Amino acid sequence: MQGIAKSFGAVRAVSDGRLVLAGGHVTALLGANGAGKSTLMNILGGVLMPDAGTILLNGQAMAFRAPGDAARAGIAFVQQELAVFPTLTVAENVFIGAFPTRFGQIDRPAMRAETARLLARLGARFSPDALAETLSTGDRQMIEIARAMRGAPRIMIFDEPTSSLSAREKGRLHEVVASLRDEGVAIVYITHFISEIFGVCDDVAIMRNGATVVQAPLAGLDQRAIITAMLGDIAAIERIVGPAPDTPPVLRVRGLRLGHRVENADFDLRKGEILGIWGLLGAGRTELVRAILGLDGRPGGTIELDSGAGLAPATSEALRAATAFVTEDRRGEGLLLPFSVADNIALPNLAALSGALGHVRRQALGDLAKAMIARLSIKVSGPGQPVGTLSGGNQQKVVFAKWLATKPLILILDEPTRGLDLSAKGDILRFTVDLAEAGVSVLMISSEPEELMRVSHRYLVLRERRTAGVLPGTAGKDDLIAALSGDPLIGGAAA
Amino acid sequence: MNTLATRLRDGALTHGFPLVLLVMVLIFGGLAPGFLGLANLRGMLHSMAPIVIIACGMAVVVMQGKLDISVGSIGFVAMAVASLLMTEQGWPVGLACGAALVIGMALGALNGFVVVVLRVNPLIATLGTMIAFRGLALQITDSRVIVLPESMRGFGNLTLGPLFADTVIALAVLLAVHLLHRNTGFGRTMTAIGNDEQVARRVGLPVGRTVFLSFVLSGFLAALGGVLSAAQVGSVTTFLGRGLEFTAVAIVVVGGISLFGGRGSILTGVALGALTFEIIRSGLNHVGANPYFYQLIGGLVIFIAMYAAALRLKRPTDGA
Repeated sequence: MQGIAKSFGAVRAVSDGRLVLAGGHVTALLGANGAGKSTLMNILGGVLMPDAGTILLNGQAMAFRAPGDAARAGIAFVQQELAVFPTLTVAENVFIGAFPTRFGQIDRPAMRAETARLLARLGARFSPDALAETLSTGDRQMIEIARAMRGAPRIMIFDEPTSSLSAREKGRLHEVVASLRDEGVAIVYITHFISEIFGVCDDVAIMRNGATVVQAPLAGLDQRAIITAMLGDIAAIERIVGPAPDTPPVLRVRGLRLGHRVENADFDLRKGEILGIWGLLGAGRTELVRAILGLDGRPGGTIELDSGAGLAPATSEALRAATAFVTEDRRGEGLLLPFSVADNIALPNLAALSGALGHVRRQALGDLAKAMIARLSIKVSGPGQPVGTLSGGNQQKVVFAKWLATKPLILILDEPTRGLDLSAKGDILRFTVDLAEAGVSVLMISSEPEELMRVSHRYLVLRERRTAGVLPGTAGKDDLIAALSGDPLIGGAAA
Repeated sequence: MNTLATRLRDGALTHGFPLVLLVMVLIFGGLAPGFLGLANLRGMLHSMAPIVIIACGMAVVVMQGKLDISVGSIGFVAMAVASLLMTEQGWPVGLACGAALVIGMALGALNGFVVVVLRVNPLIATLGTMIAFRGLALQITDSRVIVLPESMRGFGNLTLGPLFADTVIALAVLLAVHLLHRNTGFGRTMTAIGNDEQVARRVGLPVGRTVFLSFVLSGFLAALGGVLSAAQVGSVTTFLGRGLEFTAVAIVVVGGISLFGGRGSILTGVALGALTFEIIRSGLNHVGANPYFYQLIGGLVIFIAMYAAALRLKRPTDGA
């Protein structure tokens, strides 16, 4: 693949995608969130058509218009999201859409035999006649891989295949990848776990901001070099926060764990500080903040919250009540797009805006909305404009406005500026700092190191689902990269 | 954990349905001696033939997590036109019945178009066509009773060996639809769509085409059910097919085919479901109960079947 480019509207997802694959080689495809890996692979898999660039297969130019075209050319895609049908049998799942038939009916003996052969190659021990719903996640993934192998592909793409697997299942998957390689298949292996690639991959391709920046044999690279290439040169930045406040903690987390989502987390969040969560994608950043709020089940360990009377153990309900959680997913988070800006801001504040009879005091609602629009400089024609007609940046400001009015103790930001333009990004970061100065404690996740470095008072380092310590806000880019590579932390006393 | 009580409970949940059927048969048999006879069994298989066929079409649609509640009206329209062709245009009975089946497919195709191309929710789409088709049929027949020709009425009582001809047709349809569902790519795609339509699309299955064709099939079987039903009665009345759509849904649901799609067997599901309602109807008839009582009992059966299904689904997640 050469010079691949693809834009979605004004957003350039891939500007210079390059990738060279060879039979019998496993190539790791790495890159931060939004680097363009998925877009590039969707182009190779025929899901998307590129705006520019060429795909050569054995020296022949290819133009894939649909996934079927790529499949016929011998390219198989094992997608991250499982596409297995629970109430069909394993064999039916493997052959769905391409059943062997005899006299107009599915040729079950042939289908079963072929499935058994594929499963044997994968070292899977379940029956082709088992219903998929009776199998574990790892076994269901084997079904997907068997489906991908059905057409004897020459190129196989694995998109984050281990993200939902247990350690034992991961081991088995790695064996499968190795055996496919030994049979001469060219493999693309997308993952966020850098430590994982050393056992599995031969080459590594690294993408950053839509371009392939490195493609090289893995042997000559170490983890630190890879991370440096992924993150790129961190631009000189202007910090917009003062020194870390020396205040007592409002949130104390000790020994927090939740299944394989969070293995261990220890940290304090001080009053009025912005604590940047520093880790690679897959380190468990979002999982950590969700576990604190108890969104994925009851976590182990202790969480203490100071809601005015000193630190005391807090329930998930109490933590959720004290916290505002802003993510990149503006719609999922409860922006009602057809509703007006004013109504959206009012939603979490209805109790405060209601009169004695339970009716909403329109006057108060309007005042609140106007105040928030002015404070966050939201660009609207008026409080009555539907949120759906606003730009992404202004929508995100409405989300902020919603939560600001509830006066949270803790603000959690998970990629709050994803997809926003530069000025909106700057605005969002500035409000975050304003809020911290007003005493709100902020936990912030961002895939853009520059952004995190502008506003973090301190960094909480997260590696492979464990907190590894804390870096001071003065830490430079080298310190930060070193922290991700597994080197001992400099100057970061634990919590 | 394997105490007698839990084993009984699990056993009752897994095999509960045939057990309930058996108990009902014994009760009715005890109360009304005529109920258990071969003649009554034959009669039951005869009178349930049309609804079995219609329920097969319903099962195909429900298997994809959709609904087609226009089937009763489709049967009415198809038979209304066919009866006028027979009586007023002098068409041969066979040809007119063939026309009814074609009309059924055409109306089913209209449903499929509204659902697949216009993306209207299937319940709403077929609720609309249910009302519209019935209005159309009333318009065509001028709300009259149309008495069918002798040859057509004769077919309603035709026997092939020990069974009525329509029973044989219903059994053949049941088996054919079952094989279609179990053993063809089309049938497996139906189940896949019922599992998760988005995933089915992602895998590249022909989702739109499959849903469309299933509505055509449902319309075809609705018309066939209408033909057999009219032949049994001997005439086309304004009552033809009325309420059959809900009986068909009830049969499918009681037979263990999930309304969310993807789950259940057409052969055993439709057979058991249809038998259940027929046993209740015929049994109450035999013991001389008030006919309205049938609806009360029918409603109760649906509730019990749904509750049992909910219990069954809940069990694995209890972690027991």
